[in-house]
Amino acid sequence: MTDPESSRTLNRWLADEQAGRDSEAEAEFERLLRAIPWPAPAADLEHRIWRATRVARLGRSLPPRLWRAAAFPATLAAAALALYLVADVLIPLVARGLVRVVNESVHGFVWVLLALGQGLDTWSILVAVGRAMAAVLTSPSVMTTLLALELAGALAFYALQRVLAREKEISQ
Amino acid sequence: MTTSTTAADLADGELVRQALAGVQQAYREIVRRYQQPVFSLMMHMVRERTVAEDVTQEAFVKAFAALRSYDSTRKFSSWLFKIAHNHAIDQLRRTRPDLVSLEASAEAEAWPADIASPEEIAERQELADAMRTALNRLRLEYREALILRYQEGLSQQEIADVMGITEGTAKTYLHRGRKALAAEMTARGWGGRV
Repeated sequence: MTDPESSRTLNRWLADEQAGRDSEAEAEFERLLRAIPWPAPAADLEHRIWRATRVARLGRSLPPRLWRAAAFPATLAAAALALYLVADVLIPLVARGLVRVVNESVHGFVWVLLALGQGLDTWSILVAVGRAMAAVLTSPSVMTTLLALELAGALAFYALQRVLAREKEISQ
Repeated sequence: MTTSTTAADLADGELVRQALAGVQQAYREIVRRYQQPVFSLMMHMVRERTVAEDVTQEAFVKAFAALRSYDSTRKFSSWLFKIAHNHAIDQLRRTRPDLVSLEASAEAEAWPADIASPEEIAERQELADAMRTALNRLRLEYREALILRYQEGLSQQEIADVMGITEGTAKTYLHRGRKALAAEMTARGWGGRV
């Protein structure tokens, strides 16, 4: 279709639309859309698609059936490990940590009151409180608890991300 | 299959079968055959060239990953467009390119070599730019339905399938989209020019 033809097709389409000639308008519109050149993709797009496809296929090199077969026992093992960590390690650690925090807070509060009564200056009190807190935080039990909590959080976040990504793939 | 000429002669279903059997040339032919239509649809959806190319690339990767789930009784192009549509919608939700200027996509493009004079090039470019800008002003749903129907030649049922809507809604989108586009073109002073 030459350019004057494109213009004429456009005019016929708009005239048909205005006159309510629906099927004629549709035919002219289709002709017009097909005549107009639309943007072409970059010349290297085919190569980029091919390269991305190969990278993605490498990531899925383990056959899907093997993934599916491994998924159930792996999930069971992860659940058992999580249960063990929570029941045998995390809960007692957190409980002991809480008890210690309460004890140390009460002791600290009493100590601050006594120190104030004895006329100790604010800076010395702050230094002493800081040292006591650092000692508590760097003790093996508190460090282990914090690390275990962070590890559990990171694992839970990773698992959630994987589950959501899988759900999205399935829904598409 | 040893040459691309052979692959180019194959029907979509056979290409998919060969791709699943591990024939790399079949994958390449699918890309060659559909990169332009998919890119065109993406361009009209996301309205930005680099994003459209990225989304096209990712849509093909997704399609190839899900090739085993392709039902050969369906039209391959519809299946591929559906994957591309879903991916583009995902991308739009994430990056909100609606904030990108409507005129941003009206960039200069390469024109077919069969047009001789600069006047003709200018005239055709002006019309194409006007159509593109007017299309970009339409609702995403109208834009997508119009391109799938009139540029890619999908039926109303196939459009409904791609967009995840009913056939009646697809028909409505097409009708309203065309009317809105005509109104936009008329408002821009087109119609009556020769």
